[in-house]
Amino acid sequence: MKRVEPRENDVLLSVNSLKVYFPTVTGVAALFKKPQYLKAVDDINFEIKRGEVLCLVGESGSGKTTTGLAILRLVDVTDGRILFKGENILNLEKKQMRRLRSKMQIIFQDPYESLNPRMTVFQIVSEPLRVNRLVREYTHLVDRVKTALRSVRLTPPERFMPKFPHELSGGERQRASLASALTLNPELIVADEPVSNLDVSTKAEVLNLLAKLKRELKLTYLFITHDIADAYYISDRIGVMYLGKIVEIGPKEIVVKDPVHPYTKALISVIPTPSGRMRTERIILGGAVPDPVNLPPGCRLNTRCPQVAEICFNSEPEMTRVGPNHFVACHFAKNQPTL
Amino acid sequence: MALLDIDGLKTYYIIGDEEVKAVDGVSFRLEEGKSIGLAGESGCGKTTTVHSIMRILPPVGKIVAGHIYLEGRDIVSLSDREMNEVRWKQISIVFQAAQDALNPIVKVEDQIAEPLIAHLNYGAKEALWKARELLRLMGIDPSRGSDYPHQFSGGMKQRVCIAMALACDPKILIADEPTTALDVMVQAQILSLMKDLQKEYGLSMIYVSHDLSVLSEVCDNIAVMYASKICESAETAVLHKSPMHPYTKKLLKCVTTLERNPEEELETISGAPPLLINPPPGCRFQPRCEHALPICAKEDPVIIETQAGHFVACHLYS
Repeated sequence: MKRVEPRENDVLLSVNSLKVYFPTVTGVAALFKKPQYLKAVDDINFEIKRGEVLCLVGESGSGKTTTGLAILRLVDVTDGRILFKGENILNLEKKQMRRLRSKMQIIFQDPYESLNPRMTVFQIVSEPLRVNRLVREYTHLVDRVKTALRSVRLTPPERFMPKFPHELSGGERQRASLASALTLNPELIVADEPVSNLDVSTKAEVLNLLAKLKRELKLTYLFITHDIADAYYISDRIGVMYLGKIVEIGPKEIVVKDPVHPYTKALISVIPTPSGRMRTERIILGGAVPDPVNLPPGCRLNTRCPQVAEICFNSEPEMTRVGPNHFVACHFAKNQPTL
Repeated sequence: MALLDIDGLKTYYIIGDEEVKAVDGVSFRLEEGKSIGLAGESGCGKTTTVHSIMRILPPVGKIVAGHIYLEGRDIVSLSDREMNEVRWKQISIVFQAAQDALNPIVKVEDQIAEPLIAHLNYGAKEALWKARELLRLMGIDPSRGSDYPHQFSGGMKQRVCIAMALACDPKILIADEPTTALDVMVQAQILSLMKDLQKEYGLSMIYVSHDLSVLSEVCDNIAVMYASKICESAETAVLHKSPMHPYTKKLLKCVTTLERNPEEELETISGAPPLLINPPPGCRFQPRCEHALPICAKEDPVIIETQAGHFVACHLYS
């Protein structure tokens, strides 16, 4: 995908000290038991410049999906700020938030579940416009839907408009979701594993489409995925998450080719290589992932890190700048040997 | 003589008046101690192929033609009772998300012991002992055997399923997308385990996956399937270095990897695979093939060996 430098140097989205904690003791028991929290997202910071693609990668339980949902306020945020064009969206009232939602859209992983099975493609794609009463005349509505369908290459639009989701393939459903998300001319799109459920050739089409739309419509993406190869293709920058924290964030070339954090190094080293060439050093992390509800003190990787030392059990590492736009949370960030 | 020799296998799903030709003339060999990967996108017939080998097709599925020779003996014509002797003891299978197939109310070690008692007439004590040894082989502390499945992580559960599959020392292990539902790090642990099993115990494997990279890690040979047929098969390194079939070439170029240049746009394959109810005559890939010749729409290409061990079904090479 051709890299395009962010057109303006302005920050579209800024996340500061974001925390999303889920109480694990709820209901009547909450009256008697000590509160316990699943710290799904635990104090993360990042920025996305306009026109940029930031990928959040991580394994299950890393907090990447919760982060995406929090940005659209689809989950309750426990602490922190989410600034969209400088404005903290967590302070907004319902009415103001609704106005903002047209600027921030989300597409989900499962194309089989995220579309209303009782609505036609036309109804699905036109819904945001109808609900927000943005288009009065029916013919204008039809035009907008056709334009949206053409931009996601569901052509001819007339063929797809009367179809129901079950009549579409996985790739077509994802495109329909995209078309719906695009009708309100959003500026930011949060994509949560949008291609994970698709076949290889369909995946390639949708990824290329996402890249094309980004260029043509000047979109900004927060792309959430467990697939680092996809992240490498589509992103400008990659943020690696582990148990609710960002452990490393930087330009994709550096994170993938020259990672600093032990977890990133391990993750990159175990990705299967198509040529079957054995990487000289596969770092397969053993040990157990700590209980996310009862996290031990210190660095979260201390149960599995090949370079663990005493300090790792006593204090959590801070984010340290290790290069231009490249940050790592590790006590040994500055003296990591390069790969 | 190959350990497993599949010859012209055809498996159809018969639904009312219609036949879905899920596997339509598949042939390949598995040598002892080697592993072969069945690659392809969903619907290509790779799962039906292995279900045919295990004879675990649903009632609507029927092997309508072909032979499956296990050490020279055709298992297609075996009775249910005879097939029970083959399953688990000579050929075993691990499914995708097999972890969900574990009985939640039975201890893990008892579940691994079960095939030993049922198929090999082990006594309860011996079976438990072997079950714990199998856990150790899988890299799991044997004392965890007295735990229940919900106390294990996804990767550990999958390893328990592999232990169960290996309990009766089968010659062949079939793995159907065993790591698809698992995280990358856990996947790495399982792939490493499978490679060790192959190397140290001479286990022969058939590995089914849509992920060519995963197959390249574990398999000696890869057979690429498209619309119920094998379009190309070769040694893994050869397939990557010199793919011949247009579908294989495209498939290799539309996959994201860390080794390709991210600035280059991914290749795509326009169109969709044919419906397998009444596939059109000729090569199944022809409607989507950029190199199609007139003959491709008329005649189905026969698979030929262009170089030693490299097979391709394509008119461009005949």
